Amino acid sequence: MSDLRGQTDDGAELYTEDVSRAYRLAAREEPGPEVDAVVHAAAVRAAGSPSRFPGRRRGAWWGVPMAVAATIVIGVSVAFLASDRPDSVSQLNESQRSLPAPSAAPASAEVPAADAARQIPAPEGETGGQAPVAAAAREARPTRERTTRDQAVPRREQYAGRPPAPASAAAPEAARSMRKTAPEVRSTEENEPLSPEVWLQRIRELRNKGEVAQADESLRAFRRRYPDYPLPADVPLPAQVGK
Amino acid sequence: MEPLRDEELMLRYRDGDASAFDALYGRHRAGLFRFILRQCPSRGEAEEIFQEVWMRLIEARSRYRVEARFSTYLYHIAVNRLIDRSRRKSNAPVPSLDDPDCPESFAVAGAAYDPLRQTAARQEAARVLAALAELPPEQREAFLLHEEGGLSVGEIADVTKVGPETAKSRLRYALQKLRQALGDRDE
Repeated sequence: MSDLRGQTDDGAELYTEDVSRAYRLAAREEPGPEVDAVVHAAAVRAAGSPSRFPGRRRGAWWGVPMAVAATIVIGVSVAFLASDRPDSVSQLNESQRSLPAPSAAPASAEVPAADAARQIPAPEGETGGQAPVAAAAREARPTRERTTRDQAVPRREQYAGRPPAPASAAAPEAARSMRKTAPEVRSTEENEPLSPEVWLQRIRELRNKGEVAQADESLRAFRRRYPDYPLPADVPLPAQVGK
Repeated sequence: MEPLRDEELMLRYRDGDASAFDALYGRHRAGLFRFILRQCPSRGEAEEIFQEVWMRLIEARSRYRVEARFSTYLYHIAVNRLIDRSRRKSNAPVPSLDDPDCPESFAVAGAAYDPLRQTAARQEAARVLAALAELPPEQREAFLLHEEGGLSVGEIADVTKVGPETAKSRLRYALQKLRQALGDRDE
C-alpha cells in the first residue's frame, strides 16, 4: 500500500519491496457483507436523523408549526379585538350620554379616539405604553363608520356634546337628552331656587312681557318656596296664589 | 475530476451526505479490517471491533473537525478499541495461517493460473503472516498502521501516543524481522 522509503531514515533502508509485496499477496481479507450492511444502515440512519446538522439546524423542525400557531393566535386576537371595539365604544357612548352634557362635553371633546382606545384591553404582548394605545386608536378609526351607522353617534360629535345626527333610533333619544337642558334651566326656579329678589324680578319681567299666566304660576311657586317672604307692591299677589 | 479527499468526504457526511460515508467506507474498510484482524484472535471478534469502530465514527460525526488526516482519525479509534478489548481480556494471539476463521488469508491473487507460482506465493505469504504474528504487539501495530493505514512515522507516533523515535524504532524492528522471515524462504 505504501512505500516507507522517504518517510523514515534508517528504517527505510530495512524496507524492501519483497516485504510489502509478500504482505499484499497474503492480506486479502475483507469484512463480510453482513458487516458492511450493518455499518451502511447505521450510517444512513444517522445521516437522516435530525442531528445531521450539528449546531446549525438542530431543533428547527418545530419552527414552522410554531410560526403557524403564533400567526393563528395573533390573527384571532386581532379579529376579536376588532369585533369587540364597537361594543366598547358604545358602552362609552352610553356612559357619556348619562353624564350632564354641558359640563362633560368640552373636556372630552379634546380627546376623542385616544380615550376610547385606552378603554380597549391591549392584546397580549402589547403591555402598556403609548405605542400600543396609539396603534389601537389607529385601528379604531376604520370602525368609526360602522359605529356611526349602527348607533348614529359619531364619536367626535358625541364627545363634543353636539346633538347627533338623527340617523337611527338612538339618535333622537340623544337629541332629546341634549334639548332637555333648556326646560331644565327654566324650571330651576323650583328645582334650584333662585334668590327671592331675582325670582321676583323674573316675575316682573314676565308680567311686563304680558305673560301673565306664566307670571302667576311662577309667583305661586315662589310662594310655595318662600311662604313668609313679604311680597313687594309691584308684584301683586293674584287672587289664587294664596290657595 | 480529482476525487475528494477523505477529510472532505467526512465533512460531507457530517453534514448529512450518506453517499460520502459510502465512499469513505469503501476506501478504508478492507485495510481497517485487516489491521484489526491481525491483532485479534478470531475473525468474529475482528468483525465485532471493526463494526464498533465505524459506529464510533458515525456517532462522533457531529464533532468531527479536520485536525489531521482522516486515516489518523480512523485508526486512532481502532487502536483505542483494541486497547479496550485487551484490557477486558488477555491478549490473545493473532490468527495463524491454520485459523479456519481466516480462509481468505490463503487466497493469493495473481497466481490463480500458475499452480507453481501460486504455491510459492502462498508459502511466501504464509511466512510473512507467520512472522507478523510473531512480532511484539507494538511492532506489529506499527507495521500494520503503516501498511494498512498508510500512516507515516509521525502519524503512527500520534496514534500510538509515543514519540516519533519510538515509533520509528518499532517500525524498523518489525521490518527487519519480516524481511528476515522472507529471507528464510530459501533456507
